Amino acid sequence: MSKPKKKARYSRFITVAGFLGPFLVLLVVFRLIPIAEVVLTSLQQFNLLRPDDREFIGADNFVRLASDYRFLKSMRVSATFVIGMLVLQIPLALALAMALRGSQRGIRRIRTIVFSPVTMSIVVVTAIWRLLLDPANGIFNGVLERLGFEGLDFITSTSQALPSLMLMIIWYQIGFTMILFVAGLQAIPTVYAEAAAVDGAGPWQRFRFVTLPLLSRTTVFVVVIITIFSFQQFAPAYVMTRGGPSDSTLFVVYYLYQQAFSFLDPGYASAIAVVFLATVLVVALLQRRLLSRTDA
Amino acid sequence: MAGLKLMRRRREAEQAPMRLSAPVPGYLRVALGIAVALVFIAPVWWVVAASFKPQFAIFRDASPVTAATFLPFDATLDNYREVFGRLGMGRALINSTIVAVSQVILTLVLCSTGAYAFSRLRFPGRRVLFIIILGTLLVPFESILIPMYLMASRLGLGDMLPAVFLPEIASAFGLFLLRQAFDDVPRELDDAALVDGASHFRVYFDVLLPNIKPALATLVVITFLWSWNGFLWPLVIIQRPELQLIQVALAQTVVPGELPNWGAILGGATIATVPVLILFLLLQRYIVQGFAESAMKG
Repeated sequence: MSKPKKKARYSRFITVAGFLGPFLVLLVVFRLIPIAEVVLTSLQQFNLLRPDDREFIGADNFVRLASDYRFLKSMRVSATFVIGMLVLQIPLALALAMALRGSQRGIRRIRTIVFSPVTMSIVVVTAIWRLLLDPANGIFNGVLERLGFEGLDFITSTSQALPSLMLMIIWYQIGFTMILFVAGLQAIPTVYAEAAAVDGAGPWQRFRFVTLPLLSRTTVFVVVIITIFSFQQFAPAYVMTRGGPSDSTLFVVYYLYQQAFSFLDPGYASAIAVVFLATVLVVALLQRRLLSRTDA
Repeated sequence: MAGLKLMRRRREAEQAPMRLSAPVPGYLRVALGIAVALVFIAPVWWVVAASFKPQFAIFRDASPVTAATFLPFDATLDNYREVFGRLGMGRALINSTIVAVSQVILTLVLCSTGAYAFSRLRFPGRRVLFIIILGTLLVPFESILIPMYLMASRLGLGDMLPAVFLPEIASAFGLFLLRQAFDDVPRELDDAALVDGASHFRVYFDVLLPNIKPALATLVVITFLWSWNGFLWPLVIIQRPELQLIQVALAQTVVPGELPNWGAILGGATIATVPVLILFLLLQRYIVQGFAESAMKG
């Protein structure tokens, strides 16, 4: 190789390294290495306060998971939460999007208002809802009593705690889901609905047989996003319920946190993390499948 | 003038897409819209109003619900005195501001330079590397919480503010967003500058950056929100009370199983939210648009 060529190659390397180097170094240190390491720590046993003193124990942590009553309970709680969010939030968000899809100023303003909780933090939302849901002095029971009903127990009851959190998260997230649906609806040309109307289709038929099929890409995407968001839930349990009463709101991520930082058992917590990560990746892969099918 | 306008309107009416019969009459839609808006405004309104009330008035006005529930009669600053005094949330606000501002600036620098490399420089392994970076978007932070904690401690970052933002600034989302923006800028622009002998840094800084201001604004706003609202990572990595961030400080006013400290929660929630709500109302087009677009592309 000639000298000038070598020199050009060197200077190109310097340019690329200068532009991309800092980003890559941090990505490797704070993303790629930790992703590899969580698999390793899931096969180890150690105390969080003495991370250098680790023992390799093979798949023992995973064996323990399979018979851990609380872990199985946490998976059930998270799965229930995910399904509840899909079944309740998606139809509601789509209905909101249908009602608020226009571009008039008033409608845009209402969309902004519905979206605004998305910009608040989950901690703020949970703290506020802790008070709204308070059985003795909360606004919710204030409204119920005003309407002549008896107040509810909300988060102090094992059967009402998880539904209360679902209601809260729907209030928090629905603006985001609605915006995705609005974007999807606005991308559908109106000629299809018009053609259907000419053929005598009513509003419901147009929605069911024209809009809904054309919206399927957005819908699949929304399903995946909500599944992953709901599976990631942590703060409501930490701030409001500590997983209770009697583990009825024990989200997987909260259980993971508890094992790592309360029981100082990061090896076992890593095994939970690996199961969690695998589930999220499977959902994401299923999304690709479904999306490529809807393209065809 | 008026005639012209009328003609234009008539023409628009002719060309406008056929009006599909709406299933719901107009006045009902307005009423519905207002009801929906109230569902989202009322709780926040109540929080701000009640944060100026003494505890007895909060309870007195909450149940049954009347207009007084949403109006700060018997106004007092006691809750804020407690929040800023005994609970030290002023310090937490400053810490959160330091973290969020640092995170925004460093994210902008790292993501824009990285995005330039992928958009304008050719080097071996470029495609594979980009796919790997995008792949990390699929990995939820919660799943790598433990190795992240071990890594930060190993690097001696434990219990320091940079430990909160350093792991976040190489943002795959930001790189992706800005790369899209760079790709949309015509190459003729930088080719001309390169022929004139400008360095890649000049092209990046003087030619391309000014052309992607909307994308930069979106990244600034979303990164600020992310940073300001972050909870799990600061909860884990910061222990010293004087370094606490606002979300963690607020979380500690709610103690599960105990009676809540209403004044502290209301005051704390208000000061933790007002900065971002103002930011949101000023810059909402960047947020809503950015969220929807980036989500759809991702």
